Amino acid sequence: MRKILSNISVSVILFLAGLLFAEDYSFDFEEYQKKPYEYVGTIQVQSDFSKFNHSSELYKLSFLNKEKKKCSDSYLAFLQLKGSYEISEFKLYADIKDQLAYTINDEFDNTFSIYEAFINADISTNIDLLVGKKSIKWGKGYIWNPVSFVGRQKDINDVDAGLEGFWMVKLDYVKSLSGALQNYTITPVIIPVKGEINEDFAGEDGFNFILNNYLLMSDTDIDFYLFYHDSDLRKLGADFARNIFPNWEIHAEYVFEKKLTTISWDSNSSLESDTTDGHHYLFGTRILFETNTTLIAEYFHNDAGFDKDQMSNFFETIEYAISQDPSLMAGIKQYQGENFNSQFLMRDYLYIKLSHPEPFDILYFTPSIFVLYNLNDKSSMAGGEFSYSRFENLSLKMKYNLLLGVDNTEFGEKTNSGKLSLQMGYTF
Amino acid sequence: MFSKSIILLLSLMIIVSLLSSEEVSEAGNKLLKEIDRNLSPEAFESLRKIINVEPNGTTKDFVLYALKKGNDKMVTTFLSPKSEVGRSTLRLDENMWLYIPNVGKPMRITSLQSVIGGIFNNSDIMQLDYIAEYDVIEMVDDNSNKLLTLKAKTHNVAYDKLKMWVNTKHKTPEKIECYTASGMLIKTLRFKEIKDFGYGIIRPSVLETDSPLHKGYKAVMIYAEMKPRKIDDEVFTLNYMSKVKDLRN
Repeated sequence: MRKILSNISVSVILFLAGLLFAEDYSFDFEEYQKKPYEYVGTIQVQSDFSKFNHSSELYKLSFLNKEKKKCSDSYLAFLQLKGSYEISEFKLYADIKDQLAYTINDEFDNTFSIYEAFINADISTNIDLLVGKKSIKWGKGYIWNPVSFVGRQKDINDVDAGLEGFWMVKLDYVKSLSGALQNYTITPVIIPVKGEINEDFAGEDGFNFILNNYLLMSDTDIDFYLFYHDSDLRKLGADFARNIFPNWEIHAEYVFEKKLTTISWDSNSSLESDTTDGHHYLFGTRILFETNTTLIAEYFHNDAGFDKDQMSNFFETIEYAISQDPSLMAGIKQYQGENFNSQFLMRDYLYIKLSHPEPFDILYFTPSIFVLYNLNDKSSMAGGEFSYSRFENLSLKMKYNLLLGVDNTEFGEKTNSGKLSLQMGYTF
Repeated sequence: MFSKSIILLLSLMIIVSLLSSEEVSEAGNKLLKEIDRNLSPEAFESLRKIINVEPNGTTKDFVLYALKKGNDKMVTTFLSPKSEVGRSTLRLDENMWLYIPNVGKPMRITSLQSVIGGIFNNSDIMQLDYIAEYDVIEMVDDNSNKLLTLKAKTHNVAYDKLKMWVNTKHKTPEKIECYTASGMLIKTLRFKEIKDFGYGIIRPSVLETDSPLHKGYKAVMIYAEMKPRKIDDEVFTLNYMSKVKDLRN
């Protein structure tokens, strides 16, 4: 009897051990079958802590006659909902975002935006027609894309962030081939500007016709771009990207822009306007080293930017207005609002970023460091980022930016001298 | 006279060994082609789950939908977790691009990176036919299995040399060791649980991997579904990367 009990005990223990250590490789794939509808939501909260640069002219301009603070904190939260519904060859798609920010002026600011809202028709495998509001990103550069004729500028503090689209009609024709030309795509886009429709796309009403022609030729991505406003050719551009070795990619972008207008301050604190044809270009590379470290390096030239003297004149005008001629103040603020929206205010920059995923076997953890160096005035923005995505659907990010530069330089005259950002996002 | 005989004998030996190595290579490559066809049809769609396992036992799961055509075209997209849905990878021969919905445009990546983190790199997830990337340079019997030694055709592949133990009954791999050009073992892949997927596809349904470079870590790829499918070439283009998941039936 004891022997039988002992055998039963051993069997039970082995069975339980089997249950405990058996590797369950089954999964219910029915759950992943296609449904006509799809949705995804994101909630993100972010806190920013900034240290003010009291000696900067932009700080003096923003906080004129206000109490001097050493630091500021601001908070924002947003809810973004994306959904689609498919009926036969048609797909309806919407992407909306509501953002609530608590600003440094102790005010709440709520912004609701329709990022995308369009209907897409898959006419055939080769042809695709889209009507509605859509965000499109073109170009090969990491930090800047002068060829992105139909998209908004990237946020240099979050280059991967989604951007609000424009209302448009877009057609894609794609064809695969065998031989040196592996495939090509022709994408004509029409963006109308009228009243409030696409008012931030271009300054004047009319129809904008943009054409992109993509080729994959001899393992190289090549694009050509054309931009017409009504019947006037405004811009033309090209880009390419290629892996010269499996771990080494190179890319470039070039844009020729007609009648580029720059408004700047002269040395007498007066505004002057200059209209000329301009060139924008970017050269970059991305290298994955054996250590699993990735280097991104880019040089770019922006003809729409200010030169060193124009930038210096602007800061000297602020100083003059504050100390001697306050009547200039309203004009300066209006000028700043209209001309300081660009992510890159000056002409020549060098960007370098190093990232190393999963150091010390810490899965889903990626630290990175970067520097954006203004080659015209020798000022710079440098910083680091830690991102962690260990927990399902939860992302955590910490970023620190340091702004370095002497008086009358782009980064030396920013309102802040440094900023720490904490970010947490949950997807459902 | 004696030295002439030795030279003749040596020449004969070299010719015989060259001929036999060519025979081995021909038979080995023929077997490798059969292995490729047994692992997947020429054009197919599949549903897979990838599980990253950490030394303390914690796991993170990903579900992938994949389409492959011919020797050189493959595209995958994530269906789970929610935060990764729509993240797609396209491979055309040695060219590889990653599309992240938020980023909104495809960017070039390399086969050595990992889009999910953990031990599986892009090359493991986006594996093309072995015969497209490797030549068999040695084939020997190893107990009841065949052991093939595979050498990369170019320097553009993730692993310079593979040692593949082949299940001779099903003509599918049982184990693959992956080596660098310097001969360092960097990864071991274990193929388990032979399953009949229908359509004549009988192959291992589980692929486990570990690496001496990341002791205690493991990753598992489970094939839930695999079936032949007629796919247009245009599906394997940058334009299609944002809508790969819509191709599910």
